[in-house]
Amino acid sequence: MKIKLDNVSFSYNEEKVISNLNLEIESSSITAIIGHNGSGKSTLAKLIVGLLEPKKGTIYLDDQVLNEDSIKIFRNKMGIIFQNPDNQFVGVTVKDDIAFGLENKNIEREEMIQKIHKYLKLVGMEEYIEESPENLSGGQKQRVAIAGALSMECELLILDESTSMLDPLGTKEVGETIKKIKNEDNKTIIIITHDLEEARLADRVIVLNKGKIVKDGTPKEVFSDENILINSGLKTMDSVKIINDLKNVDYKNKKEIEAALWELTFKM
Amino acid sequence: MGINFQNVAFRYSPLGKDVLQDINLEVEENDEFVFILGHTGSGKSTLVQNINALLLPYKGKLNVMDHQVITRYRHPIKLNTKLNKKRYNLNKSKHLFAKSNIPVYSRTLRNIRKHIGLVFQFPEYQLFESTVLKDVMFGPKNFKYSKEECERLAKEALELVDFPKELYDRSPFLLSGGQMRRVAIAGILAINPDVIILDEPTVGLDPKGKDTLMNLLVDIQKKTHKSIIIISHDMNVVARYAKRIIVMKQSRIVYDGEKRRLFEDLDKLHEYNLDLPTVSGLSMELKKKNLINYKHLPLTIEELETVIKGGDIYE
Ligand SMILES: Nc1ncnc2c1ncn2[C@@H]1O[C@H](COP(=O)(O)OP(=O)(O)OP(=O)(O)O)[C@@H](O)[C@H]1O
Ligand SMILES: Nc1ncnc2c1ncn2[C@@H]1O[C@H](COP(=O)(O)OP(=O)(O)OP(=O)(O)O)[C@@H](O)[C@H]1O
Ligand SMILES: [Mg+2]
Ligand SMILES: [Mg+2]
Repeated sequence: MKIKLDNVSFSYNEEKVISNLNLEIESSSITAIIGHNGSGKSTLAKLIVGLLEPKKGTIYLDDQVLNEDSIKIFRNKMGIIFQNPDNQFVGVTVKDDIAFGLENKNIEREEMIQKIHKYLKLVGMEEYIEESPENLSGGQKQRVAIAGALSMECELLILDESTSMLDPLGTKEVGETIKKIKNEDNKTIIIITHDLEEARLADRVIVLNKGKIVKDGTPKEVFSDENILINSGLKTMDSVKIINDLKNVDYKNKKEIEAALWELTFKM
Repeated sequence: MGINFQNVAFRYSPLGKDVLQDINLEVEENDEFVFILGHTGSGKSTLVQNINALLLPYKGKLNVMDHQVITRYRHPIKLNTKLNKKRYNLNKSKHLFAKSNIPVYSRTLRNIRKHIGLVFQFPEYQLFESTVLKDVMFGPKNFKYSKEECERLAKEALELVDFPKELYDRSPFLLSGGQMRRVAIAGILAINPDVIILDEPTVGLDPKGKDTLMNLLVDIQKKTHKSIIIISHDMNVVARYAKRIIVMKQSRIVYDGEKRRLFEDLDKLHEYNLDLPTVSGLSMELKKKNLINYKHLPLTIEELETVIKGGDIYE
């Protein structure tokens, strides 16, 4: 799905949370959005999927204006995983919960059950299928929320800090899965994250600061710019920081070490 | 004093599986900086909720700051006898849980919670007042401070976590994720507990907020010698700040020791679903390429910089 924001502004009350934002996202891409707490990342995500309406400006999905009418077409093509998975669960059991989304898509029972199993297995949660989401650990809740969103096989998938409570291997596995679906199924994926390693997975990184885009580029372009990141309440990758810290220091193999650090960080 | 588990077991319902098994653990009251790591669902949050007696073990001995936490059932029940099923009405396990010993021993519980401050994994569970300021004042109010005093303590705590002043009167539910996390942490700091436990406190914080929080905790410990226990999946934070690491796997403690020994054992790390801190990964690659050499694996940026400059890391 193609996304375009044309001069979009939003506020919950007086203060502007999203401010004259212009942004285009191509289909079949992974975009990471990073930014300080309260910079407007989750708000932006909710605007794109039509949960909030811009106060000013227009949002286009696949070149069509997003409004009360068109949202009906798009709703089933978009999936969002919220920051807190508890805000998302509707079912009494894990199975019901995932089924709920699929029912909305009018998927047949047989296929539905097969999908539920497939995606729960993918996130390692098959044995919890009859469990109540309430009784899951933090990371298990996130895994189920991810399975639910993936099972919808949407054209646009937004993950709002949705791997933040997984163990390190779990986070890696989800990253791999997301790369796979982008490549195989031409999906548009937006990852909102504070985890630089996760942002590195993206084709493109956007930095939000107080509701405005202050940097937009490849991971390499964005993470080389340590100043803009620090000014936005963020940080760069460890490798880039080391190169910058030691810029004026002489040490053995300097050229080779610098080259190796770049390569190790941004090899894709 | 401190926290002492002896062969403790816990389960959420009488017929459910053990979520904590054979837990033996001692944490001193002072100067400990412990990180608890482990696979999703391994029992970390359950363990810390046993420490502040939100959950009660059913077997073993648990002593928290000189208070004996009573186990939930008076006798270790044999679960599959017919009689016990009847006696404990095991089919309605939720009911049993609600009616268990909690009211009887509530004085002990209240005492424990005065000593142990726990920040939950999901900050929403902890927030409930109508404004941010009132929410943070709630804790101190319970300890009979005057209103002015409560307000002062609350504002101090909110400032420590860099929470924006202009949002003090906002409902805590109309905040961004990271802002909510900061309020939840401030709420515990304002009580000034003897031991501070934080369940994934850096989740949702931006990188600057993460550093601020961790430095704040280090600072608090330097000044007050309080012990601090943190559950975390962030290996970079763990590598930098941990004095002691506990790893849980399938309801048991499988590692309890210092950090370097853990991070230098790749097989173990993998078995525990953990990973190297970023810097250690880079270090190993650079060493493979014969660009640097070291005796001890660098765990932090400073350590790797030292090694790159030709120095050595000293313990
Ligand atoms: N429902 C709401 N009502 C009023 N203000 C809100 C509401 N939700 C968010 N805000 C405010 O809007 C701003 C942007 O919030 P948003 O949740 O988009 O930030 P974010 O970038 O996702 O932050 P975080 O990294 O902490 O999740 C914040 O200052 C927040 O306090
Ligand atoms: N309220 C509950 N009722 C029943 N089972 C529960 C409940 N809460 C947790 N569990 C189960 O207990 C086990 C341990 O959960 P716990 O929340 O302690 O894990 P954790 O190590 O904190 O995991 P995470 O890293 O995902 O937060 C999990 O298998 C979980 O499904
Ligand atoms: Mg957010
Ligand atoms: Mg947990």
